[in-house]
Amino acid sequence: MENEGSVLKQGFGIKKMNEISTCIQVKDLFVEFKLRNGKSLSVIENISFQVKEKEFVCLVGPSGCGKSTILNLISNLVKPTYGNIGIGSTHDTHAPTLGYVFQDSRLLNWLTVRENITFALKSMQISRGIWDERVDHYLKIVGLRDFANEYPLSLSGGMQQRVSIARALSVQPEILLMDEPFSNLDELTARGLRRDLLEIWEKEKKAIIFVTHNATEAVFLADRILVLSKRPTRILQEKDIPLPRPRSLEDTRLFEIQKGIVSVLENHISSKEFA
Amino acid sequence: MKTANWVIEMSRTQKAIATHCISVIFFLAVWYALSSILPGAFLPPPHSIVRSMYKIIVSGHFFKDMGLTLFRVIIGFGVAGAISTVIGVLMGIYFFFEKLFELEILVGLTIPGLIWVIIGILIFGLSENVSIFSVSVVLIPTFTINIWEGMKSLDPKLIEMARVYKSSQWMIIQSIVIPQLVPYIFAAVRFGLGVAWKVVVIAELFALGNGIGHQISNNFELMNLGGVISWAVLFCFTMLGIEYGIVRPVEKRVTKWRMKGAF
Repeated sequence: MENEGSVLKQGFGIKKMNEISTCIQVKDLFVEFKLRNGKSLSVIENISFQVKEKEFVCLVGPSGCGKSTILNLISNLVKPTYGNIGIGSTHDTHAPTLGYVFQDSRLLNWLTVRENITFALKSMQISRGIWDERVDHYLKIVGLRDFANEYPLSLSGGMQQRVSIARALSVQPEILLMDEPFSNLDELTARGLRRDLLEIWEKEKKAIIFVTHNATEAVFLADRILVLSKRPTRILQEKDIPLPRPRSLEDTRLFEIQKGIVSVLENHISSKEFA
Repeated sequence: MKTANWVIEMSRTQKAIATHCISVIFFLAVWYALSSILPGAFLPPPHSIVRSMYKIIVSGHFFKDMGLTLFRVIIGFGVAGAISTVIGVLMGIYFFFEKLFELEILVGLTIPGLIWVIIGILIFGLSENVSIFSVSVVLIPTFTINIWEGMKSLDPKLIEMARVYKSSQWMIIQSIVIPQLVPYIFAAVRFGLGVAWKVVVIAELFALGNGIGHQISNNFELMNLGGVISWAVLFCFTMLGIEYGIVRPVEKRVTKWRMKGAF
């Protein structure tokens, strides 16, 4: 009887998860890297979180923590030591489509902007007939309609990052992963791109997991923020941001939340230093 | 001394061309002077070399022998290219292969072409195989080192990007690996052309009855310095033609993405 009860409970749990349409479910995740001297380094220690469909989640943490590793786990570039990552709804077990915007644009400099995007489309085995339409649509969204035949090196850093965003969107991903995509750009360009990103997100309604070390950026963008610790990475705090968009950086409520996050991080770092 | 206005107004390219011309004229003048000072008809003057080059071209020997020599170089390039690509790629990917071939490649670089020609003759006798063998064996270490270096310089971040989008192995090779190897391949081709012709001429001189090397050897037996110089100069022009007519335009085409723009 007891067994039956727990099975029922589990079943109920799955059902409930579907109702809130979970997009990513990360559970009890541990990651260790083997070092060259044979010892192992614990990078991620017991992380669990969920991302709902169409939710914008920011992972904020000090540099050098396992933020990027979490994105690499989701995109299957790194395998977890323990724990698992469920993507897509529980019954539908297809591998989901991912878009990944890296810190550096990672464009193929020898291909034109158009060819860079069709590289992703071809890789994802999207039928050739709709390539042009997709490329034109997403270049227009990122504001680079007239640059399809340029080579990346002739574009500015901000424009290259826009191409990389267009490439990620063009495969029409269920989840968009972004790894400090604006941290290499000057603040003004970054502000413009943040505003554009929110506009695109409103239109396309993807789930976005956005990694940053910049608390101000996080409170400006996210529905929910996960504050991460230094290595080995744990979740220090989870913070909902119920403020409506467009948000203003001068908004005192935004500033209060940001101050809260920064103080959590500061306390964590100083306590580590004394330990 | 005051620099004349028309010199100041010249562009850099114009200055470069003008300097090239001055250098060639000076060289020809020294040659001419030497040919009139040296006793007898030992060193023919430039204009008589031009005449003898004209004769060689009209006689048809130029196209026949130059064609044969180039053909041998191309076959050697092909064989060396295929073998070096395999070895270089393996060395770039696997530590085991890197250490397996490293010593041989470094030693191979130091062995003079002449030795390979002699070994070739001992193995194959006086046959066409000698030229193919010696050219490819001489080229393999150079080509391999370039491909190996190129493989080591591949950007793993781009391959990671391709894996996120689930690119096939073939797409990764075609769109990410090969374009990054291109500069290394061009460096290898340039260097290889220089080395290959030096070796093929030696092979022709010792082992074969035709080609540039054989013609030079004929003229040597007749103690005809003019003939030797004519063939050598014709060969230099051919090499310049290949560099400016084929290698550079192709290189410019495949690296046009390097142009910086103004956006």
